[in-house]
Amino acid sequence: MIKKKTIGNACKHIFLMTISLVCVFPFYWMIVGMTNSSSDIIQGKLTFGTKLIENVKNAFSYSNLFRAFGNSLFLALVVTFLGLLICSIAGYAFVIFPSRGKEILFMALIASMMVPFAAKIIPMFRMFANLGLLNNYLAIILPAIGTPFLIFFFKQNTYAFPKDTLEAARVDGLNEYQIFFRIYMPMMKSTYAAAGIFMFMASWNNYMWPLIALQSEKKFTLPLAVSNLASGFTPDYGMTMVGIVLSTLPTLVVFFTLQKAFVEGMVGSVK
Amino acid sequence: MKGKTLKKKNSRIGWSMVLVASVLILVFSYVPMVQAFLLSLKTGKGNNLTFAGLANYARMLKDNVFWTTIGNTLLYAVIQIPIMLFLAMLIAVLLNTPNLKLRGFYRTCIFLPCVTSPISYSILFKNIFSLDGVVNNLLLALGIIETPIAFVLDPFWGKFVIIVALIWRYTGYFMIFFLSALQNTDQSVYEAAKIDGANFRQSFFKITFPILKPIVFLTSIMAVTNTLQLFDEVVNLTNGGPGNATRTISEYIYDLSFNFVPNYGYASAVSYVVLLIIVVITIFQKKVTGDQND
Amino acid sequence: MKKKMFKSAAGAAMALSMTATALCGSALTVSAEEPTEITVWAWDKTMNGTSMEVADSLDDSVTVNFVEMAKADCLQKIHTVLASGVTDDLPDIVLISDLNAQGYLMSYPDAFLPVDDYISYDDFASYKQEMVSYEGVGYGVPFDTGVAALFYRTDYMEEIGVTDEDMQDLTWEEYLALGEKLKEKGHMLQTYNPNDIAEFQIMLQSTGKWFTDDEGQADFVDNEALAECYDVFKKLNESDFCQVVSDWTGFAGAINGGDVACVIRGSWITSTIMAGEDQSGLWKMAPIPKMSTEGATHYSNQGGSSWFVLKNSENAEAAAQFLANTFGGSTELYDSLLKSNNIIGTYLPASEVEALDAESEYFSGQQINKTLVEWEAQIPSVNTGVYSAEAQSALLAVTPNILNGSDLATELESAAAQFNASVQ
Repeated sequence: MIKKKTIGNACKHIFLMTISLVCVFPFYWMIVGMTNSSSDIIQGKLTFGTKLIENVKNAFSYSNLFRAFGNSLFLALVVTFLGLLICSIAGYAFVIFPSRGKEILFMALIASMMVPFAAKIIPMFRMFANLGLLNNYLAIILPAIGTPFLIFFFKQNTYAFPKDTLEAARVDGLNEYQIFFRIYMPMMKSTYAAAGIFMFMASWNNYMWPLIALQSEKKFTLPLAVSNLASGFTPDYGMTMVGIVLSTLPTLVVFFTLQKAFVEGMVGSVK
Repeated sequence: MKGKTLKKKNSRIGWSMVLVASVLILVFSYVPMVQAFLLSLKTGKGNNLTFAGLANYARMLKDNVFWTTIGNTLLYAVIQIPIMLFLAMLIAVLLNTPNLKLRGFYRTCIFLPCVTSPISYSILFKNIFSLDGVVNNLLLALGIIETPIAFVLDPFWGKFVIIVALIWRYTGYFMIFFLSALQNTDQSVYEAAKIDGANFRQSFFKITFPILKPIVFLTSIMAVTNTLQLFDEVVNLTNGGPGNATRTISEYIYDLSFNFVPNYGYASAVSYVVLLIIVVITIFQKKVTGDQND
Repeated sequence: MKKKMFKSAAGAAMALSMTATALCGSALTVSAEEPTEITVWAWDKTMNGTSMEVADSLDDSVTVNFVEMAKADCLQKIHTVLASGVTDDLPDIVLISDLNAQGYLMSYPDAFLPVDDYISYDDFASYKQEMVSYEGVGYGVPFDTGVAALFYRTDYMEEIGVTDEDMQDLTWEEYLALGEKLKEKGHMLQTYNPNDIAEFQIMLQSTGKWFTDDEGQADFVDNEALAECYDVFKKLNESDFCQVVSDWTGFAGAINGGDVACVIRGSWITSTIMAGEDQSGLWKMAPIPKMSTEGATHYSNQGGSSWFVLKNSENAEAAAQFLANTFGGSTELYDSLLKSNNIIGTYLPASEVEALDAESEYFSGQQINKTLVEWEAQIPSVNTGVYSAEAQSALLAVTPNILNGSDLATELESAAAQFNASVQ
């Protein structure tokens, strides 16, 4: 019995270890790339070089990466916070207060994420121009915080929210909003963590719409700045790597911060 | 009487909770969608548009590139999505094993790929699968092949590389959704099952899978939506070639709008067909996976 | 509204006064007023950004706000803005690649400012005018060029006993024959990407032909030059002396890594070649091989772009005048661009500037720029029309079949059918 368990465990570890290695390799590649010259990268060099400081200097003197980084971070934090709030409460209500009308509404919301974005660009651009919001961060924030997928995600996870807890809270005299904010939110920590990672990544990597909606270079986000690094006739891959590494860092930080919430799981219903 | 007013009140509260998100989505997504639909009824180059009824939709029937790209895109979806979701679920279940050593480490590693931007990981995969890349060198060393394979220049291997890249990038991402659902479950349920003598397979099908079912539905819809709108990876890996062998429908829409002399009407019409396909698949998925809300 | 009208009136007045002074003397005026801010959308800061910066320093009446985007992004953004019909916050000047220019002009009537009154097209390389005009009206101020050249490694050629003189007047057949010899010495002739027919542009234009005819119709089936392109392409495909690459990284890597002996590209490739610092003094430049089709020359073009003024932008007139003063009228600009960044324009009066005489150390002491300018004047003019992208896409779709030995005429016919379907 014990032996069988050990073998099973070993298999698990071998499987997970292999996958982990495959997953980590590109990061090694990116970090190595950051230390090599452009022509070394092109020729596929996989060992550390000596060009790190030069590449960093080039990247930062080429475009204002700090400002772009700050812009992206600001947008991602605002979008994540507002998006989590309004989408979670909507997803919650679709389950707790079900009705025929809401079911239809929900389907309609989901359908909106199925139209290729390329088709919506021009009408959206015209709309924000009419609203006078071009080159304004509201043009980025407003369409981003109402995310059908996030509502969907909260809706699906709300099925796991124990009905007893809900009834108990009602008996205790909490009103519906209080139940949501004081009971549901703290209990669904791991759902919020996963959704937060999703939202942050979506906003952080958002490319096509900010490219179209933002006009002045001062407002450009990091993906736009990084794409400029590699846009010359003779792209400098060394400094592009610096940009790529820089643009993956915050998502990692967010993941490390939020992953604790997974480990803790749902905060017990005994509370 | 009292019950009825309570119900009415609750209904009002329910609607108030969905209000903000719904209004935002309706305004910023539906208005452009309707405009795009109206556009799909017009034809012409750039801004020289004239009303053409359903001419754009009729044009698609005879458009070889349209059919090729639709076929490619569906092929990617049919192969990539099941493999990826199965892997994601398997890894999530393994990582949910209590007392598994190194699980924080594994979780982090497996999540890592999805923090890379589409462009950077495409460059990476191109590198790995290039003529003198890691994969060719390995296959040569093992004696499996005698001459290197030009992966991204071949119609079959090009598709293969794209699918491998997609699985690599998105498995960890979908794993997170499964994992968070599993974490919402009380571990004591498993312990109780164990005491009752249930083995891994039994507890998986009796306990784990029912918990994951709504998430399977969610992730599969999300994955279909993602893959049917596949763009960056293909542009960067194979640029749609050779010929149109790996081109996706989103690439074609982009070409029609921005690469060729723009025909926004036709591009919109093609987009609406994509919408239609995704909706049909979603309804089908709902039937098969079954949503829980009834 | 009133404010806006006032602004544009002021702009017009200023433009007028500037034209007047420009006519009186070549000295540029120092305007007492605040300089007008001109917003420019373009790609490649190193090249196009520097050019605008230098131009800005030569004209005190404006300050340039250069907004950089990747090329595809820039072209997409211009499409979106123009298609939406929005006129607020328009950039004043945009950069458009020559092959796309007529497509924009046709798609958005009345969006661009005609510049015939500001510049004289006689001052520019003749092949440029046609590319930036639509229905007889000139809209673009021609800028850079991609004079095609054959760059080769002198050391590799020496190994197979080929002299610089031998390289000057090659036919394609002779050029391909070099490949066999190079292979024996362990070198590759050039790179080859079966999924990229950009070299066809160079080959076709060298004979004065294009993918499309003057009416914009597909010119595939009876196009001898195109048939010859495919003939060469097939030979490259079947040969063992080409380095197969699949993208720019592989392409640049083959050059910088010393794998290939030759590169045929627009002159902008020099910056890529020169990135391989260890190969300084080992490269030279020769005219491209000559095709056997009637009208063939050693001269062609690949790439290049031009500046366009958006008619509804806030400072359209000032922007056009600024372009006329600088890119369309200042040899000083081109002189300093050559000195600082090796950028060659298409402005003919600038073919006299002293910086052209400089010898390039990297290219074995050749007067690279001077030679390129001489070739530029001899490039056959072609009407690239509106549908170059559609034509190349249709051809690319049948190229794998052609390489696999399928009948050329049949495949070209089916490509023509696809082309006709895509331009409707």
